[in-house]
Amino acid sequence: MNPVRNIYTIAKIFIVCALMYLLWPYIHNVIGMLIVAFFITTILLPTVDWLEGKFKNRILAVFTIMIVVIALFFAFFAIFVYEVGGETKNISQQYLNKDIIDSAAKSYENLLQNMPPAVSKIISSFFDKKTITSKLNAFAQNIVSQILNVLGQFYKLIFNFIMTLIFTVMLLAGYHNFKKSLVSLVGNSRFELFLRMSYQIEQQISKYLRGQMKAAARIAFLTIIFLLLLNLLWSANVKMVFFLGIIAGLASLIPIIGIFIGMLPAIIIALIFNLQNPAAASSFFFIPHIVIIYIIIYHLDKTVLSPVLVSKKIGLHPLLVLIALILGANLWGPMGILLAVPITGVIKVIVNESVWFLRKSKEFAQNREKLI
Amino acid sequence: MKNPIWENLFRNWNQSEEKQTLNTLKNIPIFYNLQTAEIKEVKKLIHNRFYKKDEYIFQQNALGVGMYIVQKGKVNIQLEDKNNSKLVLAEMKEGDFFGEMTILDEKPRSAAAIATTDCSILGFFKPDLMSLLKRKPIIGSKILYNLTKIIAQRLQNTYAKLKAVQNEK
Repeated sequence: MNPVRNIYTIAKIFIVCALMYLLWPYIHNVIGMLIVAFFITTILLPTVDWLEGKFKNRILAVFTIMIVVIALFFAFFAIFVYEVGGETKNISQQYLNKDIIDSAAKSYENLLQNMPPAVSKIISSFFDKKTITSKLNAFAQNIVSQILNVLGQFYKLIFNFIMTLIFTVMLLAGYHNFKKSLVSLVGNSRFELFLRMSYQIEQQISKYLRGQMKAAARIAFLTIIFLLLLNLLWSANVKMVFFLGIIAGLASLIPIIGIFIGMLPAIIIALIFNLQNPAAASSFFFIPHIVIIYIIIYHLDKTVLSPVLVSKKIGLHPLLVLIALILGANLWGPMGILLAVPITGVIKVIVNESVWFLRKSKEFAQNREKLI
Repeated sequence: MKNPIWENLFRNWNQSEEKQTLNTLKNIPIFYNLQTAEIKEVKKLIHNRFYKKDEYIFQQNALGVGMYIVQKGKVNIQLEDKNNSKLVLAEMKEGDFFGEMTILDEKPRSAAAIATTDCSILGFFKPDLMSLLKRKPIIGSKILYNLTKIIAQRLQNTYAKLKAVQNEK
């Protein structure tokens, strides 16, 4: 290869990287939204294409799908506002009442009594009754302001949601034209390979994401059933079961650590609603029950249901997944954690396709040489 | 000198070329029996490419995913061996098409295609046909039916040639 051309290529890559580095703080939000919109488009595209065949009108197909998606989102939002809003009022009222904090301190004492003496001695040396009471008081004072703070951040979330929705509608409506325009940017020598690769990526990612969404729905459903059973059989008093189910489903989209993220709100809610109940202390506030339920659900889905129902096209090494998660978290925070695995999957497809292409071409050339 | 990247990027701005593309497509056997509205749908998926003289459209052994139609210019289909000697198998001119079998079967190209003049080429590829089958199944089915007819015709020709060779023996 021409050395001048090599230098020119390296200089071009360097300039692009430098520009990206300089512009990143200003564009990372938009890029994040576009990537999310692309993934949503990939999930919805097969349904939109199918509906276009039925309605004979793409715009109508896109709007039908978007109305369903928005209705589902608002249903989730309504559950969230109804359950969290209602219970927050109760909790803040209860915790502002000193008697409740005293009864929580009593529950803590009961809990220590139920433990083996050696363990309770160690725990009480770290957290004595006075510390617990003062911590709960501070928590009670801050809880309302904390919730208001979280709700204050909500406008940003709504803005991002609306923008992502607009990007998704545009991408869905003009997907095939966008793709064609993108292909026209690729040079003649590589465009056939690019076309094949983009088709493979689209297929793989679509299958992967649809599989993930189905798995999330299964986990949400199982969590709701198991938590309702826990309430019914052990009178566990775990509130906001539907909300916890949806959170568990969404958290399951995050590999490896998803189970803990999904479990945490359930444990917190079990603690909050059982602290005033000294009888619950004997069952350790149902925390072991919740941990076992979540482990059973996740393992049931990941080891039994998913391998049967979802073809694992994107098999990534756990170490690679962890590295991708850390990088994703550093770049885009919680959204980065969600997107890390699909993006790594895209990179894997590109590498696999390139290797396959080179190997097949080589094999074919060797076979032809033998024939000649 | 024309730059292929810019030529490919701004190709769709030329209205007269749009009409020419439609006319070219109407005369291609795999698009026979398609109505004008259906041809227009196919045209949305067709990739217009510009190639300079002596530029490869595809190389021998390169993996193929679709067919090409010569809209303007001339293309040579040629076999190349290790010693770089070339054997021209066919010369393609305006309205001719090649590589249509790779729409059904993604295999490496058995010969190379090279532009012998500045060329305007239309490309129709397997992913586009798959998308068409999902979104416009009637058009997709017509194209598949035409492809089947072409294959059947070629099978008949091969059979006739084999028979002729057998008779000569």
